[in-house]
Amino acid sequence: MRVGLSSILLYHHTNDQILRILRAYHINHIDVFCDAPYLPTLELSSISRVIKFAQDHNMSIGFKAPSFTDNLVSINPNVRSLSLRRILRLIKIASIVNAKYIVIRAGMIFYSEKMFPNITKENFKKAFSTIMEYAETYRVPILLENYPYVIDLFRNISHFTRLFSDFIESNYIGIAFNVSHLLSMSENFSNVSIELDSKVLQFIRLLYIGCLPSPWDYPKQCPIEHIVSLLEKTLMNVIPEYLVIGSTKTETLELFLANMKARGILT
Amino acid sequence: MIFGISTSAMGTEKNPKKFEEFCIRAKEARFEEIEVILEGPIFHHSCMSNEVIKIIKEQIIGENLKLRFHAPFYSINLASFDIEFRKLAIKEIKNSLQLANKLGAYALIFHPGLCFLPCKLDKHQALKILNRSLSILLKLASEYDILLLIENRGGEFDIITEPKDLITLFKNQNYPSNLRINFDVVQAQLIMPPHEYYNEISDLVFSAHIRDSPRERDDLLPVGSGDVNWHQLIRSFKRKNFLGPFIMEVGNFKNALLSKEIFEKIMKSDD
Repeated sequence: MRVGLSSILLYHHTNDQILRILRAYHINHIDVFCDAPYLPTLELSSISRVIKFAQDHNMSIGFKAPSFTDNLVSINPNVRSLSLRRILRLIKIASIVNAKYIVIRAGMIFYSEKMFPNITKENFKKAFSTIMEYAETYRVPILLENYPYVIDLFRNISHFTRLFSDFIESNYIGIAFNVSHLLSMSENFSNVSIELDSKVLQFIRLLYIGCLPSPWDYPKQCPIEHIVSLLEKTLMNVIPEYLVIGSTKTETLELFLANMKARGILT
Repeated sequence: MIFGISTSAMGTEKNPKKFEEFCIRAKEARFEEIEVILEGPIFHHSCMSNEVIKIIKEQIIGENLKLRFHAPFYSINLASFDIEFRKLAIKEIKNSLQLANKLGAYALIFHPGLCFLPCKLDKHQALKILNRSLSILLKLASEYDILLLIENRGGEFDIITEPKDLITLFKNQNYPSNLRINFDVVQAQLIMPPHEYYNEISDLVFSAHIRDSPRERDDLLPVGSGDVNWHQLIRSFKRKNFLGPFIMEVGNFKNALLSKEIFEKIMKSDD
């Protein structure tokens, strides 16, 4: 398992500050947060600093696609089209820089999408057929991330096989399981667990942790003990390729890392 | 008093035939305005069919009802740090203005913008962006001769939620004559008692969305079914001699009629 950090940390600190942590905890992966304000446009040139940092320090990279307003299932054709074009553009960039995956948000169901369920279903199918076609052509795995909001299409990862039944035969589809998102859906942090059948678990290739809501340090809460405890339980059932910690603060990152080390998750 | 009805009252049955029936019923029920929400496959400006345009021309404009539009709002963020999505937001509203001009709508309602977590870290910058976007829209609205109505919002991800911030937005634009507020009662209730919200912005209010909801929710319920204190609110409206347009923004036609009836009754009472 490669341990990584979100690139949002790089924009708030000097390289030296980050290198100290990378060396102390053997971090060897960067999850590039491909969204504004860090990336004002989704172009290769905008990511060059992060790419160079990763190359200079022999780290692998993956991409987290924009997800604030992008909506692949929007009933608005212009929103849907721009969202799709951006994912396809990112797949091409990922292929050029050898990014190991792209994490995407499956889509949001607002009132209008709910009103027209058949059209929304059709839009979902069209968008993901195109995305998976590109992913296979450019050999870039697409990882679907679970979100905690009621508007989200993909909230509970047990729904993965139902939502993506048309695509699960592909080697280029998987899950980026956000532990913090799962935790933030629960009122009682101590009672959350991940109980899934092996058919779904095998698709989990990446785990995210961070303050709630991850990965930003504008936390409503940051119950590190609970987050790492749930991560520990998850790791009993899942063997991910990547574990990514999201934070804009080195102090928070180190607290997560120290807690994980104390529990034997990290060596 | 001027009463209008939003296409939200069409409920789930959104097709041209039902729209025509809706317009006819609205006229019969003595609504004077129809607000068409430009969302979804029937009404979005990019795919509005000739059939729908014909209904608007014949059943709304032809019947001397006033027409107003509500611009698309899901994923539309005028304050976005993301250049592509900000451009899209402006374009969506520009296209709505063009359609309004073409079909004879006199006003366009829009939402100020969204504030996700990066914006919460640098709200000052996001507000600057919003001001720039708004300047562009005001220029366009003036070219198309359409009144812009900004809506007060109260959601977790809305950029402008407090009355004072809404007022600052007007101040930053030098109180343009083609910009007013559409006062949404339920959105106001998410922030404070609606009459208090209204009292702070009353001089800038042009029209209102009339609906009800439990205090923490954003529902489309009829007047009297939620937590809004209508007597208090209507007292504030009367004090300012605000007589509408009051647009019934509820989930079905029956509830629009019920809301109009209750609202009118309280307006006419001596309370």
